[in-house]
Amino acid sequence: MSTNASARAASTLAANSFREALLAVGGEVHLVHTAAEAQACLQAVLEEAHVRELVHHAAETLAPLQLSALAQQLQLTGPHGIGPQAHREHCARAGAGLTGAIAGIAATGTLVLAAAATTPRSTSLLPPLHVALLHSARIVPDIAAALLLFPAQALPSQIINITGPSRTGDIEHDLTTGVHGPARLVVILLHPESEHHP
Amino acid sequence: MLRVFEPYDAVVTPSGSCAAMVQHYETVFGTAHSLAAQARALAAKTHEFSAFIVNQLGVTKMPGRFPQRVTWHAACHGTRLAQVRNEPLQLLSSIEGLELVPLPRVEDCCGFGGAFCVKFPEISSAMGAEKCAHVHSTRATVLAGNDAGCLLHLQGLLARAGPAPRVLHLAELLDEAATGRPTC
Amino acid sequence: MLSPQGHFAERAKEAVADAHLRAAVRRTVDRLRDLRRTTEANDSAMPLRREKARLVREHSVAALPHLLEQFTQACRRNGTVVHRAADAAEACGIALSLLRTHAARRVVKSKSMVTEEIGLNEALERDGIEVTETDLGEWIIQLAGERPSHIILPAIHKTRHDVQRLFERESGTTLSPDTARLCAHARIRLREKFLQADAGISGANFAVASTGSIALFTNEGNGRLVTTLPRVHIAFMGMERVVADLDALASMAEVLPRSATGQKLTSYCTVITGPRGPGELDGPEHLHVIIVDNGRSAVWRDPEFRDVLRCIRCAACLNVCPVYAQVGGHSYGGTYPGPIGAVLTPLLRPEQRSATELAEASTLCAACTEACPVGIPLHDMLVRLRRREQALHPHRVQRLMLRVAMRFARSAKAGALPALLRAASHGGTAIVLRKLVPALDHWQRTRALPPAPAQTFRALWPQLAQEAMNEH
Repeated sequence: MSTNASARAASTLAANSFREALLAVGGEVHLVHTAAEAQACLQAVLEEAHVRELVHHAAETLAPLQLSALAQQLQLTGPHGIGPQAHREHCARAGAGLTGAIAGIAATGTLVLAAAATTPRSTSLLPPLHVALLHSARIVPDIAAALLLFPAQALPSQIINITGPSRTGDIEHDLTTGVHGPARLVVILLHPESEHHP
Repeated sequence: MLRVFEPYDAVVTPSGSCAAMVQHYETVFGTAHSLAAQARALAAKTHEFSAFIVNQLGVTKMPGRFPQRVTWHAACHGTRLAQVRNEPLQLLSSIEGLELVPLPRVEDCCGFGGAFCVKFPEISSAMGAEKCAHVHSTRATVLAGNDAGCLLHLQGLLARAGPAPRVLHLAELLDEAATGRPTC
Repeated sequence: MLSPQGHFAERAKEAVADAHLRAAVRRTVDRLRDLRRTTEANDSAMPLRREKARLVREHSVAALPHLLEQFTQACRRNGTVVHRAADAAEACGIALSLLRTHAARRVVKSKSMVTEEIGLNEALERDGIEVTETDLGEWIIQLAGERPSHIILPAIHKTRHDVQRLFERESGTTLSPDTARLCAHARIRLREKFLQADAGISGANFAVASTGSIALFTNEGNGRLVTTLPRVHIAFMGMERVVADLDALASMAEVLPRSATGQKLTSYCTVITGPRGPGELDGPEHLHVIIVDNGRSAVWRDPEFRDVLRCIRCAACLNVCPVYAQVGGHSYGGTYPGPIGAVLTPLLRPEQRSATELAEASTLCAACTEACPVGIPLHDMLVRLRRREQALHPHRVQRLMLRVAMRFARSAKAGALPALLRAASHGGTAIVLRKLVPALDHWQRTRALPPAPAQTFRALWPQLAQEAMNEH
């Protein structure tokens, strides 16, 4: 097997493991193979949820999605050229938040995000629906490997590991989602047919 | 005790709890104590009854017949401290005619706990009542165990509450199977 | 820590008589331990994860002073302000003065046991600060004016109808007792609180020495909101929470959720390193960590009990404890219920005499020790606490009774035991005996005495020994 083929096989395994683990905790996963499929998937998810306003991380963290293509149907708010107060108001109002994951964790179906100027915390937290784009090549085996992705001497102000929707069992153990964070977590898992590292 | 048992090759206890206690003697005395070596020696030759039969005598097939539905109370000290888990089950299931039925939540303490059972009688009885309900749910005709304290407590609770399975120590059950004579 | 009113035995007796409470506790512990066991049974690496977690905690506790120093220095580099509090009063005082400095009047909190321990809410409210617990279970408890009854599920003793009534009273609206609707209501009400809050207060599941980070594990996301929306974040941590580095933290992440709820990971696990960075649109502008001692240094100096500081508050020991299952959390009287509470409370509060009774309230079944993912010998520690209590305050009557019993057992009179047993079972003598010996009375209230054998084992032994010899 060529290096490329074996890398592809490994990332397929990782993608499957990630998907199964996330499904098990109530997350939703859409496996797509091309940028066009990813774009169509995002569009469908937002339409189906009747999202009118979308808050999103900076476009450069969301490649290859073309956000501009969505601008006709819904209001888009990114982190550029906006103040903290306006950003908060948009996030509190938006029907969905869109993020690009730094990594995924195969064993637990976890999305790894990090707070930064281009990737604020509230985007994945305040709206009732969180949609995340994850490249299969960025899936690592476990949380130890995920934490190693960050330089220990210059960690982001917050590393955010998300494993499924917000959930509580505090009232009579009745599992309920969305008590504080998003009630739905949808991951668009981009797994290209031929391996290329994003 | 160290003196009394010194001349013997093996010491067999009817309860896992007793075996565990003796096996932990050294920590009671402290490793620096003048009797520590003796304590260690006694610990090494002390065995719970079923563990003695299976592991020391190498016997796993028990003679006789016992055509009854039996459930087993796994006493906490026997299983968790003396690490005797499978030996009694091995012996019981080797007996002809004996039907061994698993006890639900078998790992839960029955509420005896030595002085605990009279210091906190309400808690102890509540724990025991749950255990008895599990015993009844098995529809066993005999509840067997290898800890005299637990059995005393469970027998007392079961007898007080009405018709109940007989409560037998493993040794009594083996004797009854082998001789055909009921022990009590 | 709130001082318990009365004694464990009295509170426990009431709890045992409360059928609703017992059913709720039983349902909770069975559910949580089954979830944990299912996860563990399907995970061949679990023994390794536990062993690694044990080693990490053992090392963390051994190196505690060094790690705290390292943590403090790393925090200095990343802009986190570290405070050390010797006791509850000092910890609350630091928080109060920080809130005053930042002109913060409205506080949202995520779940933190150490703030329960130091009585933070009461201290803040006395100063006119509005404190809102935002973990759903904690909010329910706060509205009811009660204390948590379980470490990770604080409101297990409340039904959905109780919750409905509490929410209706708080909001002045009419609600349905449907769980999803109650949660939706809580989301809206608490979201308002989050958006208005000046400061967020959280605990810290762990602190990372090498990076100066704190880690929070939550399922609801309130931990994220508390550390995202308010402009000030104050995190409280017991001084033993620290681990060496991110790899050690990863080991903790592998066992804490698994042991607590059987989850591989909680919905959210955030690693916080300093306040919001340049250009960031959210996150606190100020981050303070208050490291609380409150009796922990003394425990650390005590070789018999130091290991208890390994505890990661997963509550696995509660969920397997047969005593906790009957009496629930409130009976324990302190912040920490169950086996860990029975060990920790008397150690952290040695002056609180009634806490020493907790060590007695155990059958020493060792289920706690078996369940503990970081290898704390909880049942052994209960024995050590009993021994210590006996040395300090010898129970004279008990000792005398033991001595009498020993003498009786050694003497020839032991042969009279069956006769005594028969006398104690029936008739007038039984009544007199029960009056004289309370233990006998306690026994007989719910249990029959065993049928008396014809002869004692000691009387039988010579004959049995002879028979055995003959068979050889």
